[in-house]
Amino acid sequence: MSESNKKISLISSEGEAFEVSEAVAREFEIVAHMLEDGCSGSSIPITTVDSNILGKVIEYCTKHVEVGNVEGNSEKAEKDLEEFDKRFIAVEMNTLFSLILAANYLNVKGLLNIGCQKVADTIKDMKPEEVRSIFNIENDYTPAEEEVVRKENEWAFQP
Amino acid sequence: MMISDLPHHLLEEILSRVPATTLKRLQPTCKQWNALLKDQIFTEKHNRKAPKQPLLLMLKEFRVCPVSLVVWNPFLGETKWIQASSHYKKKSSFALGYKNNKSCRDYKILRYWQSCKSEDQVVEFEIYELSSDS
Repeated sequence: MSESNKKISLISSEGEAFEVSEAVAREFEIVAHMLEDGCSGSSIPITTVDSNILGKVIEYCTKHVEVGNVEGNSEKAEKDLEEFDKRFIAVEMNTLFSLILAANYLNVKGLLNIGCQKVADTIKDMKPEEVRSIFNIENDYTPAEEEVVRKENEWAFQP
Repeated sequence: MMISDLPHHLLEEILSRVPATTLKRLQPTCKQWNALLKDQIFTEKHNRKAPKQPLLLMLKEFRVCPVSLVVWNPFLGETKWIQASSHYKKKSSFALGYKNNKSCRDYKILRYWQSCKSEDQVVEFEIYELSSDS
């Protein structure tokens, strides 16, 4: 494995430094592009992501780099990674949204993908009232307007 | 952090993974969701990402004798009447299919008719394309 041992510090919005290997830092596409553009500094500020979320994103990327480096028995490795992803994403909704936002900003595609899928799976069996209350969405319809939209989509409410 | 704090494209990213019938039920959630779920670009994205639901085509009789044809898209709530090129023969069979184009699916309807008299086999086929209405 011809991997560089170079360490990079990622600095959270609170100014906390997280030291990671270059391979892990490169999982953040935004960082990979910075490195390719000749940014040679060993510390990179991630000003929009707090320590708690940055730590989690690093945990996700570290696991994915580790598994990516293991040779052979790829089927088992893939299964383990799936299990890891499942556990990793089983968090409260507000943490999940923060992870999605961070994954989008840092451009960590795999994390963005499992985060969005997790929210979609949660929504899947819900009614509008439940979605509103769980996600804190204001109902901006008047009762009459809501009735019209419900009527238009009536067939989807039937079991 | 709430779902409303996410930028519009991330809300799209999430909702495009929800199955179509659920989305239909969620249109009354709020005005923003209703507008997004009706948007054609979103519909195309959804078509690519959401889990595919089985399509059930129901025919009361295997062979029907329609006066005219109507196609209904329950997700968009749209209907389209199709003009017959010739008078539909009794006991025609119909089938719906599609071809995957770059941007969307190109739906086609096949009409098949076979003469009932076995000694004089006559078969008729007709294909109608929704996109070009011909």
